Amino acid sequence: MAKEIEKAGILAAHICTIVPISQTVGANRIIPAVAIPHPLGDPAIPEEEELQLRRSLVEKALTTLKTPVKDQLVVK
Amino acid sequence: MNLELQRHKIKRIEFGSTTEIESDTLRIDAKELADVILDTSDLSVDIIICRPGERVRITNILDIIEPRVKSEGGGQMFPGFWGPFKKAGNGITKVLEGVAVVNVAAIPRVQEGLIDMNGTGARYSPFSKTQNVVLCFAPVPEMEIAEFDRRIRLAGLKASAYLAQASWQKAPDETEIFELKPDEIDILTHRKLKRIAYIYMLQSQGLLRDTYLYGSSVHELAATTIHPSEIMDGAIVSGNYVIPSNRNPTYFHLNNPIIRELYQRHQNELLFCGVVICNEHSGLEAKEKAVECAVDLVKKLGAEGVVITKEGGGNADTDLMLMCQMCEAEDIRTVVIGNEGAGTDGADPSLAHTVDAADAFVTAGNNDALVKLDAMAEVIGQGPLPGVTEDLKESLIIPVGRINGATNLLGYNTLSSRAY
Repeated sequence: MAKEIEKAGILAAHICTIVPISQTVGANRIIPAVAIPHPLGDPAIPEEEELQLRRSLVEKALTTLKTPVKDQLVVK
Repeated sequence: MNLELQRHKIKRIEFGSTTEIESDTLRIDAKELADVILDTSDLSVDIIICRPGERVRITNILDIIEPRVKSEGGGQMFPGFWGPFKKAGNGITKVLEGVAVVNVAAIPRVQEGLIDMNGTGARYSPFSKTQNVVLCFAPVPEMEIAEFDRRIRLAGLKASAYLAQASWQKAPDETEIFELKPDEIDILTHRKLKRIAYIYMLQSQGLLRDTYLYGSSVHELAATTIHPSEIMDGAIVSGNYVIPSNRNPTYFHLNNPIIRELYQRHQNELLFCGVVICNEHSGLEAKEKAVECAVDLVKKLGAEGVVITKEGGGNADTDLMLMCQMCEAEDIRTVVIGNEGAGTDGADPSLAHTVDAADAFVTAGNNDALVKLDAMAEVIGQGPLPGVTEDLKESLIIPVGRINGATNLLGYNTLSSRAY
């Protein structure tokens, strides 16, 4: 998906749990996610902390879209 | 550890007034079987017999189990699930070869597939060739899915033990003895043989995606050593309902062909130095931890080579590749087994993740290859099957990976792929 979107000339940031798969497939901007059943959330932490976590993941993705990259970038 | 498997070869099953074995026929008292199942499960069950060659399509398949029981007074089969606990892998176990208990229930989030007992589809599933005792459980809308699934699993295991009890007073058709003492391998006698271990990756990732070791999910497990005879004797039970060809139902855990082959070659072609099980976790850090722990254990076993198998597709490719890469980095040679998701024409990349170290890969076939199934006279279960809008009785075109066991990741089946 990330690759096809970029082929169409639109930048894509891939939020993905299993980073090596995203690297193999060829995404250029990769944001590590939480876990396969809940990539953008974590049922084990309090709701407020989770909201914080979700916000930070989305913000990372948006910030990464503004970052010029030469090689595949995995956001820490 | 000394395990004796007494095999009773069953060629036919039918209903009767008592559950008994007469020559190669298993007769089943359906009422008594239902009572055994419903004793603790409080579910409603319909028991159906499906024989090879019958024009029947089975859908909504959960776990599949080979009927087995410990010999009379010899303890409990599938310890950890019920009864007094005693570790598996020792003593005499009675096996009804050629029979399978198939749990069927429509549960959302199960990745659906089918078994055809006749026609083209029957060529692809090992369970088209077994005499199947199909347990169809009616939905209980007010029950939590986890509880419904748990009760069905217990019911299937109890049905398996109940059916195999019919063999208690019978002499087996064949007896196999499995004994392995890796600590006592005579290095001087066998110094030319390589020490080979097996890394058996299990998949436990939450609701309807769980695998059990002695009754507990391996969800939190990193890695542990286990005696191969324990696995052959019911230590591991499946509750994992990913794509049917990517699942290892309990039947395959009991009959794991890698363990069987390693046993057979022990002390003539190789030294079978042990088995390490680990979990394929749902997060990357947990995956890396499991890999590191598993590799540490095979090093402690003194392995010079390992066979690695996995369960599930996509993210499980990462577990497989990280494991392979780390073993090779430690100078432990690897052979990995997997199936492919290479698109309908086989031209797409086969795996979601690959590494250069994985240079010995055995394929169990391409899940995406399409097969045309013949029309059936009867359908058990209600589907739905992904991408299928036709009546389920009709001739269907589906990816072979939707057929239970077709491209089995332990190599239980005979499919493979050829490159042109």
